[in-house]
Amino acid sequence: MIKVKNVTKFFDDFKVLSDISLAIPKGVIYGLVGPNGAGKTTIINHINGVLKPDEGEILINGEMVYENEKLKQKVLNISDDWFYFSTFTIRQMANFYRDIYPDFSCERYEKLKDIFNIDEKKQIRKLSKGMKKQVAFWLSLSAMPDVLILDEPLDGLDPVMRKQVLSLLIADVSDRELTVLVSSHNLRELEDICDWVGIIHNGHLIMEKPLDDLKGSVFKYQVAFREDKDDAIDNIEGVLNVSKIGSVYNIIIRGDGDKTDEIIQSLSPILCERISLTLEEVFIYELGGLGYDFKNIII
Amino acid sequence: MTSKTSLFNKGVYKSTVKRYKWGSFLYFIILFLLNGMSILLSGKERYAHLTDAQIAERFIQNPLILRGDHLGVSAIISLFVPTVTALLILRFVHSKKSAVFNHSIPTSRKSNYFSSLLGAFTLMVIPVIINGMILAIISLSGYGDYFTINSCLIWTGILLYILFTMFACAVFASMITGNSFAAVVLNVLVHCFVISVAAGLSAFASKFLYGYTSNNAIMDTLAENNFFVIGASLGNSQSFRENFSPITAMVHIGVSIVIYFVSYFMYKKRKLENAEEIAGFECLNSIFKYSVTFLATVAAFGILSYTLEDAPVYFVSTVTAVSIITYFASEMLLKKSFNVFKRSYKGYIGFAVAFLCMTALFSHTTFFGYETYVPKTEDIESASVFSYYYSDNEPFTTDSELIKYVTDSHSEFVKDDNIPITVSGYYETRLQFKYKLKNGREVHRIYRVNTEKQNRIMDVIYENSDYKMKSEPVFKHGESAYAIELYVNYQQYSRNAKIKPEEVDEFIRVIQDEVLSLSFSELHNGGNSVMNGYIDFTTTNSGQNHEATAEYYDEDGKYYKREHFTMNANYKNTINWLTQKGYIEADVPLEKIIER
Repeated sequence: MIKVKNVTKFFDDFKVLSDISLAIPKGVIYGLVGPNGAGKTTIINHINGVLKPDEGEILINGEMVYENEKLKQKVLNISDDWFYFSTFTIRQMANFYRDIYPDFSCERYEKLKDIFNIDEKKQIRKLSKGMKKQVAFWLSLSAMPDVLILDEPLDGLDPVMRKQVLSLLIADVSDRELTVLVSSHNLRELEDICDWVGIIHNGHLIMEKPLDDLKGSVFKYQVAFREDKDDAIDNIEGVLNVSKIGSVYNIIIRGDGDKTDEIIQSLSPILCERISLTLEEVFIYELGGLGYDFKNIII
Repeated sequence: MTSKTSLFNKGVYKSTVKRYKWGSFLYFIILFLLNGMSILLSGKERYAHLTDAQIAERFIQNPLILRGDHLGVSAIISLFVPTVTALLILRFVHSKKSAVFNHSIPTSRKSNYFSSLLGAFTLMVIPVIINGMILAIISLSGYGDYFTINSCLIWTGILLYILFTMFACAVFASMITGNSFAAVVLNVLVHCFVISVAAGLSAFASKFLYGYTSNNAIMDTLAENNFFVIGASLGNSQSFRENFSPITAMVHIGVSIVIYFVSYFMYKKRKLENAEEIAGFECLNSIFKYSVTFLATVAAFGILSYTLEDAPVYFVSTVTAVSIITYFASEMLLKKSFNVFKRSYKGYIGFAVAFLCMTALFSHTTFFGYETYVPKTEDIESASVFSYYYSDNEPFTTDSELIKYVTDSHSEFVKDDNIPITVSGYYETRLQFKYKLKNGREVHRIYRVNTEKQNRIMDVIYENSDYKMKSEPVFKHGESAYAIELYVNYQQYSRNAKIKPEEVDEFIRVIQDEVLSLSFSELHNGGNSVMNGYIDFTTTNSGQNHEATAEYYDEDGKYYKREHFTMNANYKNTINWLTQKGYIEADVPLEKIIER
């Protein structure tokens, strides 16, 4: 549905995106993760139609999104710092959305009013941060988009509202084949809802896979040996991280599960346990392999 | 909803009008208070004493005659309304957050731009039109004797013209800059940038170009075609309105339309990531930096040029310091960092070299013959030489002998060994040479001279009484003089005297005969002034561009004007006449006055 093809973007002389390509299928929740400054928001602004790539193209349903009014009627964006007109009430903002998004559903708007339970006559600027985020979801979901782009969407929402919003999103994905692109640092929450994950770093896409495949390609082994096996472990292909507590090694390996089992067993461990990693751990170890990792520094 | 042509987006238009309707209402209230309300409060009885002729005259002066500020203040306010409107409405290119939102919603830049502008026009125009209608209703309700529907249309038309042209400049400034502060600054500069650069170069040239004068048609033309100047003048100057033709207005409106489209083109091309920067386009950063540095350097040059020869080290070091500070301050503003020296010092060196080359070009060449040029007599239609300090007039002569004398005198100044490198130092006076050539061109030069040289040249030319009569103020309007006021100042003695109306003609004859008998030296360098005078004369308003400065009108619609003249001790016959007639008191001996 959404294709980013060989996109390169410069801000002044700085290369923000470097020949990046990704593909987001229709009806999935795609999590875009990466460290700070990786280029996530820049990609999102390209998909929004805000920025024009210096090289490459951004396509939604086969059409270029930049300056495409018709296409943008189906694409909605909720940024981390959601924009609204400062003097408008919720109702006025809804009227604005109704005027510009032809698929805006007043019926849905009324239904969601009961869920979010905020007085629509209030001025948006007087609401709390969390309530503004709720209003953003309220209006965006009422606009019935085909593509919803979320940048740190759940930041500011209380746990109940987080669950509520997530369930609304999942319902739309399953009922209407809504395509959702989520950029977030809260990988634990992403793990619960994402179907696909793309990891970017320094303007490059380093990995793009279905979540299950991603989690099924990196494993953590807790292994104990009779003697030191430091050299042997270092020579194993796909090792992302090794740590040792006493005689127990924690080894993070990327690879096929069965093959990595064989490799570890070949070292004759006295104790061996394979654990699946969380998305957060996968993220940390994958980027650690690229030099972006946690440093034990004592100040 | 979008239309098929995608020029208009209803959502953008409606939201623009809704968000800023408070500003439009405020504008409406201000215009109403200044115009309709003040008329109603003044009441027509206040002006019942005016005759029909006086009312007819006032229509021209001010379409709404009851109060002088009906158009003036409204026009001044309307000069600034477009700037504020552009700042508010075009924020979607100056704020990153707003830029992302406004360009992620389903609009194109085309529909965004034109819908926003349409919203802006709605906000600005409706208050003016409604106020115009209110004035028309007032006119029909019994005020028709004082101003007509036509007057209301003129009032409305002038304000709409001002809004349309000024908004074009404000939109252009917003599209070319990256933030609101820069947009305001550039909006001001748009109106005076070209004039500022021209004035800066002019000031520079006046220091290095021998004979250069900044009194030229280029500067006048730039000022006359400046939208801000025009807008202010339309509101405040009756004579300006009389001479401001519909064709001129149409040309300006056409230029404004072009500016709107150029602005749209720039908006289409600009990168939104430049929001909140100084310039909306990276290539303009250099233009901004070097323009500011150049103008500041030239300004410092002009202000300190008097020290050029006396304290050259101080002069050079101060001008250099100003240029360095301005250059790096601009760079800091652009880069939003103090740490700019390492990266941009080469740019400053380049600027300094270019500036020094310009200085060398001006000072060490005749600048393509400018400094040595004297027109050939056969090419000259009329010529004039006059003192910078003593002439308000430019007395052109077509007499071939006089023209030859003028060119010969001029040639003296431009002989090779007379041309200085810099035009500075103290001189007592200045002499101006002006030519109207047969091909329509005008040539104008000004030279610093000492009094002796000036007198030598002017004494000869003043032997021509025709030339003298064109130069001296007592001749110009003496025929219709109707009042003379004199001011005598001598130590504690101060006296104002008005010549009796029946003696005005006689006084004019006496002083004119005296002036004809005296040489230039005697007239203007014969000691200090002992008496100043004003001649009030009348003239018909026959299309000459002048302002009525006081409310003296007679039934034939004549205006009065005032000329100033001075008399020194050489005006013996005139002083004697004044004494005989009793205008100078006997208890202050005339010798005392003359001695001074």
